[in-house]
Amino acid sequence: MTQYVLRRVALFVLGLVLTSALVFALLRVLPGDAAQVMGGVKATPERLDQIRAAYGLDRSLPAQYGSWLAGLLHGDLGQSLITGVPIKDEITQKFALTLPLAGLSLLFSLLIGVPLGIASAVYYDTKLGGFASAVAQGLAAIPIVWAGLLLIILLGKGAGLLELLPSQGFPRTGWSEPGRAFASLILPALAVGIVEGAVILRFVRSALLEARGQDHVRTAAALGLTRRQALIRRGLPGAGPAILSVVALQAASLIVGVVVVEALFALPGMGSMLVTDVGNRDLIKVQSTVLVLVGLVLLIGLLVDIASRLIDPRQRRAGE
Amino acid sequence: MRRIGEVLREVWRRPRGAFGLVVVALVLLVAAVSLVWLPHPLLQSNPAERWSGPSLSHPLGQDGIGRDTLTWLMVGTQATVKVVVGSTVVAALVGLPLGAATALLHARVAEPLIVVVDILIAFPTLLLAMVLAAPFGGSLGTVILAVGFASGITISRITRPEIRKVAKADYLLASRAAGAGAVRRLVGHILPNVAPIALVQLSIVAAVSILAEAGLTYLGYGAPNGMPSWGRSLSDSQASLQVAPLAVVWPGLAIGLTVLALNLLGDALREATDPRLRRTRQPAAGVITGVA
Amino acid sequence: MSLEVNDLTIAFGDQVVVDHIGFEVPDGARVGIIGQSGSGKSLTTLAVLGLTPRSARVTGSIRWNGRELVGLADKVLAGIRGRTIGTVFQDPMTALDPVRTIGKQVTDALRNHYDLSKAELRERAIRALDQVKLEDPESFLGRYPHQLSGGQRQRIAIAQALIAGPRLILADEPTTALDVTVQAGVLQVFNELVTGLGSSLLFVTHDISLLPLVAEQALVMEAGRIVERGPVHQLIDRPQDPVTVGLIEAALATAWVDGPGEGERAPSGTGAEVRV
Repeated sequence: MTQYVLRRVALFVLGLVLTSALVFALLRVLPGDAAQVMGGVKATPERLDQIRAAYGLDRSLPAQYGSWLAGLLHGDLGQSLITGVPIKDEITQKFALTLPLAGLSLLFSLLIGVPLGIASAVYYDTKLGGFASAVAQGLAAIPIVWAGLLLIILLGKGAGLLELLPSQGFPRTGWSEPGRAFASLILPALAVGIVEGAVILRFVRSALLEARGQDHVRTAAALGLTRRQALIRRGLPGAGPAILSVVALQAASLIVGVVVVEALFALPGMGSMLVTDVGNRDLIKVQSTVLVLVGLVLLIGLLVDIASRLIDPRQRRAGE
Repeated sequence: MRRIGEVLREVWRRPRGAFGLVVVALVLLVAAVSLVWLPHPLLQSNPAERWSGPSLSHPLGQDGIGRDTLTWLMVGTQATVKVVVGSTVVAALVGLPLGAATALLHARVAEPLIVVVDILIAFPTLLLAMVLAAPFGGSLGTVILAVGFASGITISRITRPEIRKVAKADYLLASRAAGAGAVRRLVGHILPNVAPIALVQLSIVAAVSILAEAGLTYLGYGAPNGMPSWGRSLSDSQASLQVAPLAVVWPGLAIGLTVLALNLLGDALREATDPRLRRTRQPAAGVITGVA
Repeated sequence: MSLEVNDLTIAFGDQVVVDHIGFEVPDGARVGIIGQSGSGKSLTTLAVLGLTPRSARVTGSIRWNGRELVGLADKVLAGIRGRTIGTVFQDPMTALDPVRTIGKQVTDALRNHYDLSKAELRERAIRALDQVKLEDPESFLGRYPHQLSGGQRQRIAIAQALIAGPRLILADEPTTALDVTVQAGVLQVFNELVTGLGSSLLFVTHDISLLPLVAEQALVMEAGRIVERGPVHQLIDRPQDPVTVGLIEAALATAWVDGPGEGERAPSGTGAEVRV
């Protein structure tokens, strides 16, 4: 187990390095003159030299990449071209919104996906099960922007039919007013949660339908459980690792969903910041922010892989 | 090529497959029609009738500057077709050779490649698009490249085991013939065997690319302002939330229905091409299946 | 407590897999069902348990202890399964739960049907594992199926099925997946336990050479029908139906190939011993 964790962590680190190289290559090597990109077409040669000197763009590409990596090792993500603020400080500050939003989105998607997925597999041969799976198919096909807009129309303050929840912005006071701050995250998290939940629902359903055919689930029924109990009590734990790994795979699209709803609901989180930075061609900031976000996805993958090892005795004790 | 006809017939026999095929055909038809005929000229606008609801001459109403919503959605279909075709082609061009490389090359080359694939698979499509858009700006091309590349990685991972299986079976056969002949024969044997899986994956890529166009256009990295596309119509409709909520419905409906159709088509394709799934549909005598 | 099956038919759509069969397992009797895979013998045992696939249509009558089982609610059937009817399935590699300990799953039937304390359950588990001749039974309680050999797993499957002292035991090819050398020992343990409980037995197999060891009466099934029935020795000595002849020839061919395997089986007892 320890050996596995070490190997998995090494893979995670390798993933970070590879991601940083990819992002660096796409942002700094491909476009040719990064200073030109940052300064814009109208920048004077003097301004370009200024930019180059300020961001070390006059050095060779490997040297630039090296110093970026060296900075990362010390927790230094660089400075914004536009504001001059250390990127790390800004990201830390934005995390206060983005992490709760991502967590709430994940929570909603699990609350929607797992119980309904179980129900639709257990009642698969009834009208209810068919209906649940049809709804899931439909919801999984919806663009998150649309889900968000429809939620605003239905429930949003100002525009909504029911005017229940705030649909734009985040209180200036932040988390010092937890109620208001939390309320402003509900609709965006729901928009992500519904669409992601539909995807999870389909995976849980198919994992459980597969478990239905397993011999040991039949054995459990032969020992005195009802068919349904056997499926839920014995089939579900076996499907656990599969479901967990789906959640990990969904981490990437969850982050994407969060970026979209932050823009849609005017929430000043990392997604909105990234959108602004891309618009401002703040390459260094984009580079560091993307690395942090992908790192987050990789980290979730790492944790889920280790967790599914822990819950599966076949793998936990593989060494014996 | 007889096989493709057979598969299509199998797909058509299933309600889900038939629905998928009909919707896809309809989308293609609308895109074609929009090239030669439109209910209203594309750029005709009547600001006096902005946000007006459905009427006989404007069945889906008019947008914020009085343009005909139906006309814009019809022309937007062209962008959808472009994005779908572009993304699937890029995905196939990236995914199949990469899948073949990781399956067939010497382990010393293939194994590091496999690790790279396993890592890149976690890279979110949208972030890739944003990274591309930062220096180059947004366009349909950004969407196509980002979706095509990210999906290609996934396709390579899914086709690798299949290619390995076929290659192993053909190994003796291929090793007897020398040089280029062997390679060509390998490709000739592998491609038809991998085609079913690849086809299923490509239908998923098609669905993903439509969703990605909507999301990326909303963020400003897809169809630029003024270009007709479903994502554009959806983004523009946000301005009308209070005055004309119905305007939000149409583009979302077009996207949702098409994506649903492609997903269902993928399911039907999977069933039609996977012999294991086909068998479970009609349990044979004595085969004991599930409990619940 | 006897099992009476009458006019039992199982169909998937238009495909009839078990075709109007009838037989009886009187209290304490041992009946074998032989036939090739696909003959409908396994589905017949599943029908007794009410565990046929959902897509199967079961008609006819299965009476257990005078009570009609066909069409009975799953909840009621679950009260019978594991308590008065115990089942041993074929493949010990897959029939056990991979993620639960042996100690837990071996007592499942007790926990499903009776309210016992933890200490009692533990004590019963150790006794059950001891009865299937697993050495140092206590050491098995915390282990998982993947840590055990095929023979050990099948002994556990037997202990699991018999722990609540069922009056009828259904055995669906319980030794088929095992090595010939392991088969003999497992079969012996199984026989002793069934004899000890004095339960009835319905033993399903495709291997006619096992029949004299476990049953006194047998049915031969082919394509969903019973083609021949009678005392086991009569079936083997004077087979009437070509299907029975074929099954005997198949068993002889296997014995020829396995060679010493047949010899290993011998010590597990003669037919006479089993018939007690």
